[in-house]
Amino acid sequence: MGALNTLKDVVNFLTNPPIFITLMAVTFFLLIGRRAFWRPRIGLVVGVVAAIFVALSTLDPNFRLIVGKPDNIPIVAMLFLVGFFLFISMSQAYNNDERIARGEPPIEGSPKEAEKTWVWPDLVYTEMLCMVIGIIILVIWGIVFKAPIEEPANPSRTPNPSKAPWYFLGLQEMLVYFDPWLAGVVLPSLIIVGLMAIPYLDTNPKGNGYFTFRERRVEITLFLFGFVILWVLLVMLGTFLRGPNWNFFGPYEYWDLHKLLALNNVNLSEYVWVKMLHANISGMNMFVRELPGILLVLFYVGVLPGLLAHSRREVKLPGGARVNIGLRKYYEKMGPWRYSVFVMLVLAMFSLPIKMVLRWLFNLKYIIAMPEIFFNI
Amino acid sequence: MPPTKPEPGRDTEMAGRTATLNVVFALTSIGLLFALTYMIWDDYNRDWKHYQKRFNQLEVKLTQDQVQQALGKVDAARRQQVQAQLAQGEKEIDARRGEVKQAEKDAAKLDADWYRVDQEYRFTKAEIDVARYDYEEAAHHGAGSAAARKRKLDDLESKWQKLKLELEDINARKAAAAQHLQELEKTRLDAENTQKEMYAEYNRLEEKLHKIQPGVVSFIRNMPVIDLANPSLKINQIMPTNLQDDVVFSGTPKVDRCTTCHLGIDKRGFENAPQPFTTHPNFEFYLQGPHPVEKVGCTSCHQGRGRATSFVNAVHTASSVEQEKQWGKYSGSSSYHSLHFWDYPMMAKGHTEAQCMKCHQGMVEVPKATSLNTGLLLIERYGCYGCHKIKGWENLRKVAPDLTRITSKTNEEWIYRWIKEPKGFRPTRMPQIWDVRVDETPDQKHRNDTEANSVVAYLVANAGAAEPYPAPPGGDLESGRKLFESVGCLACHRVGNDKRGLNEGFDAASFRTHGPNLDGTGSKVSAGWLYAWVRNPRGYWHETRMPNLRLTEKEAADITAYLMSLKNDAFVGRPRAPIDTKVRDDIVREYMLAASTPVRDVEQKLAAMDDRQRTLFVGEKTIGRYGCFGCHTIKGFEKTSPIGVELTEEGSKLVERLDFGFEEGKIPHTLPGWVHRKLLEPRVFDQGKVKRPEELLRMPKFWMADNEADAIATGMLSFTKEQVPMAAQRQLSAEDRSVARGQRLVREKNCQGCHQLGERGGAFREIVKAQLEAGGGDPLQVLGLSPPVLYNEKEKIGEGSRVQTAWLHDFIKDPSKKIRPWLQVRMPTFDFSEDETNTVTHYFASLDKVPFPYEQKPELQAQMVAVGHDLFNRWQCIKCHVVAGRLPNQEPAFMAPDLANVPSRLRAAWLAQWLADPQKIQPGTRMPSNFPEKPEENAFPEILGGDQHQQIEAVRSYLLTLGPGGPPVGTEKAKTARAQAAPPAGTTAPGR
Repeated sequence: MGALNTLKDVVNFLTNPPIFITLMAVTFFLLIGRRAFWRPRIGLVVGVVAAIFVALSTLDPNFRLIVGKPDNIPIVAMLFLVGFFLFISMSQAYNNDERIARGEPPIEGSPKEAEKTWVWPDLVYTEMLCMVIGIIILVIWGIVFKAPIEEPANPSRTPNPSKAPWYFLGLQEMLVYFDPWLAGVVLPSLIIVGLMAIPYLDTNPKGNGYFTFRERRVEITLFLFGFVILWVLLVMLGTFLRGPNWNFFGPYEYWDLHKLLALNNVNLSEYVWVKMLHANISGMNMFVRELPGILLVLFYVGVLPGLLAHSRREVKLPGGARVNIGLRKYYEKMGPWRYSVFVMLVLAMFSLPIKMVLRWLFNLKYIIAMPEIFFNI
Repeated sequence: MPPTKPEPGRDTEMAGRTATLNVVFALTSIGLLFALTYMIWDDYNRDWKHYQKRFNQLEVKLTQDQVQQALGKVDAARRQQVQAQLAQGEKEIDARRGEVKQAEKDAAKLDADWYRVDQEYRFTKAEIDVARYDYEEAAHHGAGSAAARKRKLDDLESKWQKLKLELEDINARKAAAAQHLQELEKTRLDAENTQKEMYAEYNRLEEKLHKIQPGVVSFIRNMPVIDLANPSLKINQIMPTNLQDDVVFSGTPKVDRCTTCHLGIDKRGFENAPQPFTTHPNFEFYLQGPHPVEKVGCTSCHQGRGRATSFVNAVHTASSVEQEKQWGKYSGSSSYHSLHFWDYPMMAKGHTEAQCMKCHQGMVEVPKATSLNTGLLLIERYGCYGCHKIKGWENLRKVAPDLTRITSKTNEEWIYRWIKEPKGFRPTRMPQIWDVRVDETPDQKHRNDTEANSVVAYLVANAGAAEPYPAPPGGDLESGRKLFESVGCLACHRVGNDKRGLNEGFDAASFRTHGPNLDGTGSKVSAGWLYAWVRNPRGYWHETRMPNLRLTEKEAADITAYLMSLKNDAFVGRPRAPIDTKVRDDIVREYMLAASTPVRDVEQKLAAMDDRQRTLFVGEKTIGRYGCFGCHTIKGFEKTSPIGVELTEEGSKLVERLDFGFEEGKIPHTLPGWVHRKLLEPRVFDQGKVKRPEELLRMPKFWMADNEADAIATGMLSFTKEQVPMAAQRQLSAEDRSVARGQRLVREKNCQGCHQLGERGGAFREIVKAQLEAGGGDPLQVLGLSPPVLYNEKEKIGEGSRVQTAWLHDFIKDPSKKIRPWLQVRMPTFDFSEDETNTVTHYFASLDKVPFPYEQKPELQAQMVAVGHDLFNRWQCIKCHVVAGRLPNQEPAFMAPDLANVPSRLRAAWLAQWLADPQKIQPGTRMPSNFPEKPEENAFPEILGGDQHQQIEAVRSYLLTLGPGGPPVGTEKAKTARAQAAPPAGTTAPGR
């Protein structure tokens, strides 16, 4: 019993957002380039281990309470589905890479696949079977998990925690780190705009119609980092690990309304003026006060793209993967306009993990904090 | 040219895949079938259906028993007789078989004719209507077809008339034929009617049994899918008008489906059935009588979610931890979790009366809601409103004595011991403030001693110097005791653990605990103060509720001597811990820091205070913290706002807003469960928490009994924010309002300590009874020796219809002119304001719905007065009645009020009622009923023909001419009446 509790404590500890997100991000970068990992067999093992973990964890009442909520069931399913499709596509991509290396066409391009597509009765039959199975699943689901109906809506007594629909929980998690106008308006718009812009930015014809990793390593890594780590993982975090008052709760922790966490966060201006220079910031002109942050942001959006366009430094990661820190290659390939759009999107995406790390390490609240005009970054 | 695709049948790989898909299809089809079956079954299989089936079994069983009983009631001899009669009838019919057959045939033929003609008659009528319309339209528009249409209408009319005649003819023949047939079969028909009547009950039950007994038909009706038509198992619902469920943004009509499972609730015979089938315990009052279920519903009183049809969704509330365990099965957990999404959980058992208040607003007591009334009374008596604001209770007087002159009344040593442990001195409602934590540490106790000492210092310092009270004249202890026990003190006070006349189980809510328990008075106050107090309570404390009993100097001295002999030396001899100056200084620092005094200044400030200032500082802060001023008037706290949580809407508080601390699981997770625990152990929710002294809970402990806490919880649950639509509320008439105002005053002055008013009151009678029993007296004299009953609940008649408003007004102002001078118990002087006197008089008049303030006096007829005088003498009324102050030669218990006061005191209408049947108005009275309803029973049938009303009228007329100083002046008639009624009443008395 003691050992089990220790184990639970360890899991609770590891799922703390700073550790959890960092761990997952590092794991992601370590594994994305490993061919040996992306095999269906390994995927099966990972899936089974995860399933066993969930199954055993449901023995814990607190875990069961959260995971078993009718609202949360689809998210558990979604996690497994994301894993499933990730393994399928990645292993397919690596298979194709090997075929291409051998001089063969990708599987999707093999004559056999290219020529034969049975519509009747094969495809129609399969589609009908999918419908039937879909109906079965929905019916059983509808019976077993009752509709999560709650109290009559009451504006003076909102539920605690107040949670967005599950697909927005990633956005809601971003609110922990950014002001609402950024996390709720600018960044989500950029995600949509960015996704729409991909075909215009990425004109690489390779990988059209077939899975490949080697030919589009950076693009896939970048996209999967955004999708799996910055979206799916945050959805999961928001669903299962954020309890009353948006406090963090480990998977085996009881969602105690009275749990207290100190939120002693400090703005960058306070770091510079108060902690380093011991100056008095009250009454200081806000633009002077926020100068360090303004400079930093200007550097990030104004100078950094230029520097990156100039440099072509390549860094070798511990896992063996090589990451091009400089983007000169891209600048040359894309030209100034498309490069600017691309780099702005990438910088916007990375602003989230950067802000997270700053928060975790330095309790940094805002880089620019001008509550006088409701402008905080 | 596109490549030609091979045909599926010819592609072997394709064929193989199709075969596999066929298998998959077969399997998924079975899966879908299973899923859909499961769906239908899950939809069909509801908890409430199982309950209905079980109830059906119970009901069938009960009806079968009733059928047997009904059968058993049928007299065997009569049954045989009827059988024989039937047989006889058959025989008679057989004898005239041919005739009967022919008659039946004729009747059948006539029926057929009637059917045919009647149909045509009705059709023709319809055609006439059409034709009339057609003609009217045509005539109006001047169409040429008008004439033709008119003809058609006339034709139809004449046809209709003909048919009518024919029909009447057939009807007459039919009646004749039926008559003929009936005559032929008379014997049998009579027998059949008798039989029907004999078996009426049996047949009714049999029919019912047939209807409810499960069988093939009901099985089919209740089958899945088919049950959409007309199942026998179905959801029952009540939709009361005007009532709504509050769902925040709007109200939805109330729909109560409770009777879907609680099937026996409105049926007799299921009193002992298991839940949920039990008959309502107060069936007549709540389902039929003033609260008909179709108008009030279930959840108006019981709360919970009326639309639900399952246990958890209906938000049943457990009343104990054991019940929570038992109910775990419903929520699928070890301990029951109710649905917390509904803001109105069902009232836990025993607390339902709390809901009465929302419709019966503005009433001091809700009739029959005993535990609610007790709870509200306890809240008032314990003075909860002193610390907790309750809307509507703001203007009540502070519940405990004024402490601004405390030094004149008692001494510092006594105060210290008293505030440390009030219950150690005598039974009291004063709560204990210190040493009542469940986990009190020795350090805390040490601190408590210091706090208590400081409070005493503050109280003494702010009460001014003791006023000198001269020593009272020497009194006699024994006669003091006797006087104390008879003059009326015991209506409001008791000594020690005297249980006479107490409200059973609720000492604190009794009339006799209205005033303090007087045990140990000698150890508390000085004789001088006490003497002055009993002579004039308001002299010391203007707001006291203690009335003036008009004691003479001698009486007051005797009572003082007696009360001073009640001592509690052990209590006064308890050790008193001295002030620990170190602890006291720490407390000073604490309060200074809490008041945001800079840390550096605290020491400086402390140093500037001398020893006494520090003590007084701690005393003041402690009083402020514990809120002593909520109940007592204390100098320096006149404007301080109360310390407790506002309770105005406490009954609507959601359970999730309550801090159960570490008591979770030990008490029911409900609002009443929490309140109950809070009342018994007010600071228990602190246990195990790390808190600074000023953060600790501070509600004092009242040492309440379990049932008291329950009643208070009920009372408190009645403070809700729920708004019932005006149309659904009980509307108070102007009379009801003045009754409510009067009730408030009656409660405040504790009139019921002496007088019975309605179902309650008259506690003093128990004292008289005990005294009579102890003295070997006749217990039947109790009523005669006790203060009068002022309202008879059963007959709905009381003081209002008895006495005239003007008299009552004068009497209340100055009760020294006694009605029954022989009684030892006294009506005290309350020093009522004119406003209060009006309230009282209006109250009694409204209770009886009699004119207020003045009423019409009846006209007196001289002749009747004379007859009345005769009857008066014959009945020897003055044997018991005082007349013009002359006492009759009787034992006190048999004496009756002065008749000379009748014209100015009694209402004429009441007088007639009283003379007709005194027992009805005042059960147990010694007044005989002299005027029976039936003339033959009358003792003097020769007078006015022995007529009850006439005789009463005569006696009443005579009584109304009486008066203390001579004949009533006024009308000419009255004067003659007086002349004829000589000799005057006053002169009749001597010699008797």
